[in-house]
Amino acid sequence: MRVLITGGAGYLGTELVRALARAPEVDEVVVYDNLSRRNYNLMLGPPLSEGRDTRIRLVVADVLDTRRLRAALDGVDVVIHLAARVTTPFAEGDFHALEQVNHWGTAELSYALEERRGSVRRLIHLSSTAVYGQSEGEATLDTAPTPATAYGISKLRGERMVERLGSDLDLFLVRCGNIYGYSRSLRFDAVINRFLLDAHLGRRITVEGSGEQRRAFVHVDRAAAAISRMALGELEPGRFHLLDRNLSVLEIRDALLQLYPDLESLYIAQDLPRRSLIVAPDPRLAGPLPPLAEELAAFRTHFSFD
Amino acid sequence: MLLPATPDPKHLRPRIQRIQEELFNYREQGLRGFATSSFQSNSVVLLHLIARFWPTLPVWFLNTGFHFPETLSFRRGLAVRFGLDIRDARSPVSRAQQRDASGRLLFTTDPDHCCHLNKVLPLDPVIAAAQLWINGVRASQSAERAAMAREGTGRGGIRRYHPLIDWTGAEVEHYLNGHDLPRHPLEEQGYGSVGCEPCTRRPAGGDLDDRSGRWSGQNKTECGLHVGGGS
Repeated sequence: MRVLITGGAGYLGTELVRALARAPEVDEVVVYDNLSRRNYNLMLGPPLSEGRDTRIRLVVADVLDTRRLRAALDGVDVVIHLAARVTTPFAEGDFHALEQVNHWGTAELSYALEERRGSVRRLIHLSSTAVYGQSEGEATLDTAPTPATAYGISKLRGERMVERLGSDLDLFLVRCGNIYGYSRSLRFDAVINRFLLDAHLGRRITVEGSGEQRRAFVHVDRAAAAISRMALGELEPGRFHLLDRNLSVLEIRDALLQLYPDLESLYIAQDLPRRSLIVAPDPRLAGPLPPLAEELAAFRTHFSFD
Repeated sequence: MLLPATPDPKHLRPRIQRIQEELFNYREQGLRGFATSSFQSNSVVLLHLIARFWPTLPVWFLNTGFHFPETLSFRRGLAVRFGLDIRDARSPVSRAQQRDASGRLLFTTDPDHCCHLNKVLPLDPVIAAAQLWINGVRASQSAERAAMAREGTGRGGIRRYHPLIDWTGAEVEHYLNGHDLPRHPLEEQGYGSVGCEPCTRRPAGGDLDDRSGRWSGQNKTECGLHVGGGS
């Protein structure tokens, strides 16, 4: 089986490459990435897959590069589409930049797949819980998306572009929460990672708003494991929620306080109400879930000094 | 040949008869022809007539890359339902090369150039290889189209044939209703004329003649495909 991962050199992509390159049924993992974040960690450090790294091939190209994208799909059985512009949960970016990649980049991929109807048999499309905007109650897979941010809108438009391919291939439409946890390609603009770094370095975190706002979160290892199962055909296609739990900023702070009892919290605009989003975890992806503080303690061991 | 399940609306029969004869004559002359379609509700009449009277005619869809997903699904559904030979014309210029100096896609700063790369350029090789271009422009849609005749000359000197030039929006409605033909899925959301997603707005109370949602807010009214060349 040949798997192509767009955005495969990114945070989640790196862990997914690691998981798939170890799978005996995978002959090649094609990492299709424009390296726009200047993160080269996929290629650095110890081997990812115990002697199987020769099965990893990097194509440095943009998802909007129609010609290279089409060529890269030669002989590919499974596509995992991670390439995206991402914002952190609490920030808005340039609307067009989000649209360009998340909507039109996904559109380019959809045309390439449409043209090769029958060759790529499975598509895993990474969307976001941001398509729900905010919720009064818990958003389920039946909840109509009402995105509240430019990022959420661009991700929903991307979904619509691949949904139309559902009769051509097995489509996994995955609405993913905010990712956290150690990876050699990790990002420190993800809120839990940022807090851990700030707590570790300066014993001080900054909370915007009241801190009661909630979001859906998933550990990078569990996200990679779930997507890997989809890629290997261990799950039936469909729409998925990929998250471990919903947490408020204050609950994240409480977990950090267990590791750093002298941690201080600074509040900015704490009277400002911030929207919350609570998303129902997907029973098809359920598994053992360690306490957050335990996971953060494991993450902490990767810091080289205190 | 796809036969209509229901007879044509009575008042349209002479005109449909004329189109049938004209298409027959073009075929008799052995002209290498093609049609273009943007796969809107408006387009369904021409596509249905082609399916009835010239089903082997290639129909080119300008897949600009910026269409609504609803348009793309509508195109696939009609291809199956009408049994047409629908082909996609795509820009030879990679999307990554369609960005301006600030890295933004061209529709944000230079829609004329965006149309040129994605609508005008992809059709050039099709025009060069053919002798007759059939399309469904109607005089009531815009001033540019009102100035067109039933037959004309297009870019590169190609012969153009506009079988629906004298049809009104109401007549298109009659034909669609008379044959119980499908509508573009965005029509029920209030869209009139549907083009590329970035340059299409939902007009207030649009009908089939209403192109006000196209390049809304701009002075531009045509993509350039149907203008120039003396038509």
